[in-house]
Amino acid sequence: MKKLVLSILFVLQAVFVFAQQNPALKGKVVDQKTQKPLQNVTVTLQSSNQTVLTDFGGNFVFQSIAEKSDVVVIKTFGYVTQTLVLEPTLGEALDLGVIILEVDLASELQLSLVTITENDLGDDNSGSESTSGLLQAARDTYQQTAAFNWGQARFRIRGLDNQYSTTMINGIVMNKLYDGRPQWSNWGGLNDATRNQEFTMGSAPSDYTFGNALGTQEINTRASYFRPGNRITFSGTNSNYSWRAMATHASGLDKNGWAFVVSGSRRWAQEGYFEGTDYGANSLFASVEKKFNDKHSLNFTSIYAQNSRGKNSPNTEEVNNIMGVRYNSYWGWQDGKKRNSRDKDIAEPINMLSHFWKITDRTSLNTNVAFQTGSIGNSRLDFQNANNPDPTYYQNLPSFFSNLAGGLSPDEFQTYANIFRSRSQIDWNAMYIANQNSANPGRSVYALYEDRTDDKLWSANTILNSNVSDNLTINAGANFRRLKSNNFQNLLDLMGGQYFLDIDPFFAGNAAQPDLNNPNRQVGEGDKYGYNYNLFATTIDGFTQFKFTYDKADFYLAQSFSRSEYQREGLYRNGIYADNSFGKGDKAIFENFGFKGGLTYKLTGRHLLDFNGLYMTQAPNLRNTFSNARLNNNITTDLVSESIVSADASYIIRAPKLKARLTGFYTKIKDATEISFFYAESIGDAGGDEDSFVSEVVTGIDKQNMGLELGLEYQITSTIKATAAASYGQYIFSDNARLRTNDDNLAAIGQNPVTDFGTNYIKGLRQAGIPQQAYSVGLEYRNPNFWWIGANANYLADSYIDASNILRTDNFTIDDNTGVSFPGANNQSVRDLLKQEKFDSFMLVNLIGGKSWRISRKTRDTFGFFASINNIFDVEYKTGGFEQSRKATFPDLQQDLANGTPSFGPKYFYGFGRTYFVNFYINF
Amino acid sequence: MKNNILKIVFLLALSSSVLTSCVKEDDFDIPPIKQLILSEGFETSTTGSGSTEVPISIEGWLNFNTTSTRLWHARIFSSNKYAEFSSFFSANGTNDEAWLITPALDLTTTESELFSFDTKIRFWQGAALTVFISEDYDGTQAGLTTATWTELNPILPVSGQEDVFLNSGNIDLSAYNSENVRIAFKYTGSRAGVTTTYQLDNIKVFEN
Repeated sequence: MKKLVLSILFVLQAVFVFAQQNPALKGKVVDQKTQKPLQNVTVTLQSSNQTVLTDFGGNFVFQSIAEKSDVVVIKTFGYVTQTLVLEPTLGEALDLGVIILEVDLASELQLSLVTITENDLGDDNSGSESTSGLLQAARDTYQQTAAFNWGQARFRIRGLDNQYSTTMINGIVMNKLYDGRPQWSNWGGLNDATRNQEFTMGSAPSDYTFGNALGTQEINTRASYFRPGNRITFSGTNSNYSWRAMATHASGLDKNGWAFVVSGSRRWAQEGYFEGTDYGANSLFASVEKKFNDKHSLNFTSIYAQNSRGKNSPNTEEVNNIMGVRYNSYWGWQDGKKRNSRDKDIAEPINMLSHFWKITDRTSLNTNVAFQTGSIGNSRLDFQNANNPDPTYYQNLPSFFSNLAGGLSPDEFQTYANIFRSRSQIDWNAMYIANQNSANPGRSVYALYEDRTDDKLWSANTILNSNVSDNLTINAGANFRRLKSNNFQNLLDLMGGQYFLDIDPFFAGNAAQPDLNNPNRQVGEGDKYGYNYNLFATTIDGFTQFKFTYDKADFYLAQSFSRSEYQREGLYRNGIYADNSFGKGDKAIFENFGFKGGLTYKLTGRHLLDFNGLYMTQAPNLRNTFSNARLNNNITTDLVSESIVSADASYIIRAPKLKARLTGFYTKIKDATEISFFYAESIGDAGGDEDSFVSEVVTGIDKQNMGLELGLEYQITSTIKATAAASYGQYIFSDNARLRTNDDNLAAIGQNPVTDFGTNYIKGLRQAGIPQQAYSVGLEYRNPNFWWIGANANYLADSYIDASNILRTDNFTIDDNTGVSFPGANNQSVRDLLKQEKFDSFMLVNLIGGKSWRISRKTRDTFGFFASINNIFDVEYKTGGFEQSRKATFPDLQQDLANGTPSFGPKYFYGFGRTYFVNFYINF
Repeated sequence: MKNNILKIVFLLALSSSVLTSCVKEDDFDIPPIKQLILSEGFETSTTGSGSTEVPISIEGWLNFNTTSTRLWHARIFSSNKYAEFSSFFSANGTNDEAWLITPALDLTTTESELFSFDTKIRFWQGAALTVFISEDYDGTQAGLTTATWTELNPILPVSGQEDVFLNSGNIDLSAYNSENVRIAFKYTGSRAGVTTTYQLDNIKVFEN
């Protein structure tokens, strides 16, 4: 009786059966709304973790189960999980009959909210990298909190960048070879079409890949897997975009073995939360499956997601104080419209053919071939022998005059601030006029261009899954990828001029020629100029995995091998690097391997201990392989594969009312490489105060991430649920690295462009832009009449600024001319200047609620809405920021700080203030 | 019961291992500091020319001639000032033992220090310069003979290396850790004997 009470959560059934021997278990799962069978629902026996999937008819069968009381968990994405208590005394076939699954209102919310974490995804600005899109629909309390409540503050699980996760569509890896990160925009806005997802966390085993230290996400687009029906949603918000419309139809599998799904969406805004950030995104999805017989099925998927949005500038404290944190320096008025100079345009359609082969009842093979092509463009202003059009260029700001005069009175400062206010946006008209008045008639001095990447990527994979016996499952897979990536500057707009001259005006003679093969070329709109090269990459990888399942313990072992081959081909002969810029360069080849294993020990069916361990090496990505890819074929000096060691241990409670997980984790990454670009003064001895555009290559970076994470969910009554989550971590650089720069100025005067700055003193610094502490508590009330409301409060702390590397070398403290420290540089003064800024902690409170109605009893069609308000108290908080590298020596930096407002102070990104999201949907 | 103990041990081990291995916020590396302990280029000294000699007179520095009257003096050439001594202009029949001594240096707060200077010779007639260090010199002329002087071993120009400043190399002073470290440049010559001209510049002691 007690067990019965325990199990009354939503719709619970207890089944008592008396029989002879060999108990078996079967049942059929249907949708509460449509009464149609649900396929691929997971049915798990809690004591043994034995899992089966429902078939096309919604049926599942366990051939044998243990003769003891047990709990069976029936779940699938988008539905409320069913938990049933079994009491087989002496077994015969145990038939659970028809089990009804109810649509989970919270998952409606998740599907709609995914977009909120899409914010600034894949932005090329440091500190503005994507948050954990990985977690979009995970079921774990902690992961959900991390995604929906902490995601807006750029929390990252375990402090790891998503290049340490593996994102897949049908097992095809979607992480870009260029930077290792998935480009979420490639399927953005297709929330309903990409809802069939499976997640693993940390190094826990996935059926599709070896994975990495953070986890895996697998999106399945097989048409017959979609719940048949139609769904239309319309949403309004004031975050990245204003409006979203989305419609999806899934046919289900018909008599002739055909199934298809189509989905489309549009998201748009004239101006998002930050000034001048326009947004326009159109997405289309189609998937068609033909089931030939019980063994073979073919599926074709096509995804087209186009996204264009105006970016938002990071600003210094000085600029934010004058203009407010929503200020964006990238836009300006033109013909009565706000025009953004820094647009990001993405359109990289994916086409994929999948073959599903059920070789035997226990063994299946899934083979996919995919082709992705398209382009990514990031626009910018270019100018030759003209004033910098950036309104926040340092000579336009009060700090410039303050530092010239050795300080300003508050009134004087205000005067300069007012001048800046009056010219705080890009002046498009002035640039058009400057082009008209060009000294060389027709030759634009200002032009708008984009840094373009046009990729062609072929992928193929095959994945084997075999339940060799009741105790052993084998997974194996192989992947092949071949990328050709054309990178170039593309001229977008001559702004009233006739042509732009393809030269680099900072240099003279041959050095000024981006392409010696076509010197002094006049380029028009749509022409390539500046730089133009191909990157080629060929990778193969494979893995095998053995999973053992027993009553008391489950364990697994997996191993992987990969080979990566990279090469650059210059299409221009650059005047600075005439000898190694044109044609194909050397190949960089990396071979890597990995091992992992883990154990789940069941103290009882409800209390588990879980351990995972991973060691792997990983090839550097394309971005870090070529140290000056725009101009030459050079391969980064000292480039090696990085190694990753990761371990975690968890204590898990799965009681009917209480679900909890406490995990301790440790990850060590060694020998990572990072390349970045910036303007610097006082670097090397070339010309002293000359500003130079340099690339900074840091090798041998060691990172250590460790901490505790806790997720807790308690069902107080059948309608009220409390959740709590906590993350306490420490993500640091665990050792010093090595820094080199590549300076084209040096190469232009015939010197070696690479300067070795020696040790990069970063040991003990914090990894930037991640709250290293996060806590959340929430309450949720669900009324049986299909409405619900929830609230949660989140406290985030210990997020740090991205520290400039070049400031942390001998160059900062030691005067090259004297061999000793600069005057005034002592342990204390240097420590004060180089102390890494810690952002203020903050509290975010979110409210959320919704209701749904049945349109008719007969059809069980539903209409519903939900609304959320994030950051109710409109708390202003920094999500990231970076120190500028321009003042690279102690006296330079001290001088810049001397008058209180530095010209090159750190730049910051801010989170959204109070935002709302309202979503209406209809399912029929 | 066994399970409960296992659980508690597991949770304690997990929490304590994370909490105890954290690194404090102020515990970060910074680029090395090389403090300048002494730097003298004589650029503020008044210089003489021809037969007019203006002796070096800098706060804390000592300048003696124990056997005659002429002292280390400041000169300028090509906008660069330096300290110079030569017995060539001394009176007939005199001997010179001219000492130019740094201020007392406090080397107690630094672990390891280096010393370097530049020397130029002219009209080579033989070596005349020796360089010493002491930790017990009292700063008086009389004290010169009672103090313990240890000879240092700098690189000094010899015949064939005339007319350019030559760096002494970095001389390790990490063995000296008192508050009263003095370095002495001693010129030993005579009008009738060695008259080589010695010029000293860029005398530096700095943290290694």
